[in-house]
Amino acid sequence: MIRLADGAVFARLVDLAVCEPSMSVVELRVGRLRRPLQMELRVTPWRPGRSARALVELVPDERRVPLTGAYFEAGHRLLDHIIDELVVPEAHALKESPGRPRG
Amino acid sequence: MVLIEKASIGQAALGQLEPTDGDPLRKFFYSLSPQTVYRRFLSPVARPDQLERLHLLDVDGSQRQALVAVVDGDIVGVARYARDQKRPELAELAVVVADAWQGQGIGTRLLAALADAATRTGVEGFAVLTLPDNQAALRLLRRLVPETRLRFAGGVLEGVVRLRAA
Repeated sequence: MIRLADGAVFARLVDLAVCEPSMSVVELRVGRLRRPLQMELRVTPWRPGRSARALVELVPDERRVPLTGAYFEAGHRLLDHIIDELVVPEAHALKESPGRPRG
Repeated sequence: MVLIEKASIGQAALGQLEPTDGDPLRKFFYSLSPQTVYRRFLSPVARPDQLERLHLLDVDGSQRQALVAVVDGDIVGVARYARDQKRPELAELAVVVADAWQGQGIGTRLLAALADAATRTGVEGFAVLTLPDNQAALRLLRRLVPETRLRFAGGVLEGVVRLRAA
């Protein structure tokens, strides 16, 4: 799922085994001569206990800032990278196991 | 700053920004309209201290260089490049001219002088990133290199402007 609303750059539902919500500060930079923008990377468990899914979103610190598309694209790339790093092997196993119910 | 081109009547002088030029650079920032700031930095900037990590005064004449246009001791325009660390033959370009001085050829003079300086240090092209509605920037780039072609990606126009060796 990808959405653009409420100041969030976007959020994505992924197969990610997390038990507790977490928040960390990340920066998006477009080139060396443009200002890095701070954002919160939020990972929220989605229906915990039933599946290994989590909501991952990047939220600008400055919610009223009209971000340019370049930062959106940088945000997409960052989230893609983070998700690639975080997706757990168990989640892949769930996908590949035909007998297991999926949420 | 070090003067590199004297001012003719009614024109700005060109100089090289020095690491000690923090005060005039801050004064210049406060003279810019929010739209000009947004076009330069691709995001709003309220105070110059929010730009500290861009190391705008860190100019060594090779990796990073900045030229300024000066009128009566005040900076009215800045053109700078920062070399790409992975592809040192390319350098990221940024140009900004004070609102009151836009459309008077200052950007063109700054960019031409910066291109000359850049080619002397081995830069072969400027990597450009600009907002699609920034027609002045597009005209400026085409004046420097008429065959400049930019592509639309991620809400901005981007591309490489190939410099000709002097």
